[in-house]
Amino acid sequence: MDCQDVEQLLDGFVDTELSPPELLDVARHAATCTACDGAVRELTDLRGALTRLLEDEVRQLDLSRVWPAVAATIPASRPRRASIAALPRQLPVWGAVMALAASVLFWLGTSVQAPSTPKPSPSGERLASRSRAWQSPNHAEIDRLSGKDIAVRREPKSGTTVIWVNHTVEDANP
Amino acid sequence: MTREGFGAALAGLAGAMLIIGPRVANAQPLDIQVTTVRAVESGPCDPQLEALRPRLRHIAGYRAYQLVGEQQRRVAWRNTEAFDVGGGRSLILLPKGMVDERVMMQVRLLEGRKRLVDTNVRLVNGGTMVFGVGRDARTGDGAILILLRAENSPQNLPQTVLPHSRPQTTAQSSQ
Repeated sequence: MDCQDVEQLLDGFVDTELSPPELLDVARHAATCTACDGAVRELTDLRGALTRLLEDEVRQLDLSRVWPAVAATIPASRPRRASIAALPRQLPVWGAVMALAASVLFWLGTSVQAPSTPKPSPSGERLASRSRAWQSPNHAEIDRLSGKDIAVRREPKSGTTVIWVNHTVEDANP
Repeated sequence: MTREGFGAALAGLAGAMLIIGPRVANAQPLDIQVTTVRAVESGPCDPQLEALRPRLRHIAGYRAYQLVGEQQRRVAWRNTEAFDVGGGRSLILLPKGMVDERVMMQVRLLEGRKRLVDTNVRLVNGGTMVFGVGRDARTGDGAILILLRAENSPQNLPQTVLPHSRPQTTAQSSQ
């Protein structure tokens, strides 16, 4: 294992996501290489500092007023239950009125908009494009991605996701 | 039944569906197809890839494509599966589950022991994604494309395997 390999595995090593043999290999190399040992320590310190920072932020949050505020809303919601209980008796009249109004609005909306189709705005087109990509049969969402010299592309027609490694064997063994 | 009792029963049913639903979906095996294609600037294009050529050209930019191998395997959920894609490289898959008709999986592309790509993806059920290794067509002298298709389906694995396909590698538990 050389320094380049360690660089690739550094994140996994610090997060202990590597397999035991890989962990051992990285540790062995770092024990004999000042640069890699320094890189491991630096990343470990950085993560430790971030963790402490987050813990401090969380400790400073004042949650003492949250539960009283929630509790204060509970009595207020009880009368609503009473109104919900009374709803079945009122629903037929109001329901009929609302259904009629919705039908009229729907009919007006469709009859007015039908003759001319509005030209989609650029943002609308972008949205439609994103929507098409989402619905495309090859759509893939990337939740996490790591690696060196990586580019993510999406073929516009089919929405196929391409993860491209700009890499050759010569790169790996200079 | 009282209103509260009915509500509790409904909540219980919803909870049970939440717990059971994904398990039922995941009970179906996952069919994985890994196709390896060599992209080159000149030379003959494999007849089997002729139909795909415009799309491959859009993806990689090269003019000619040759099928290197194809592997189809039915894999178990939450099991690591290794596919040998040639050139000392392997594609390591860890299917994690189905969410909203998408296959969640961890995909790692290794060259020997070196990780070229390590990613968590959600791929539309039955969809294909591509991993490319090599230089851009403008500056490079060839590339390898690895097409990964995943489908969670109760149907049987299709038996048609393209000619020139490599023998299937046995599943390996890696890392």
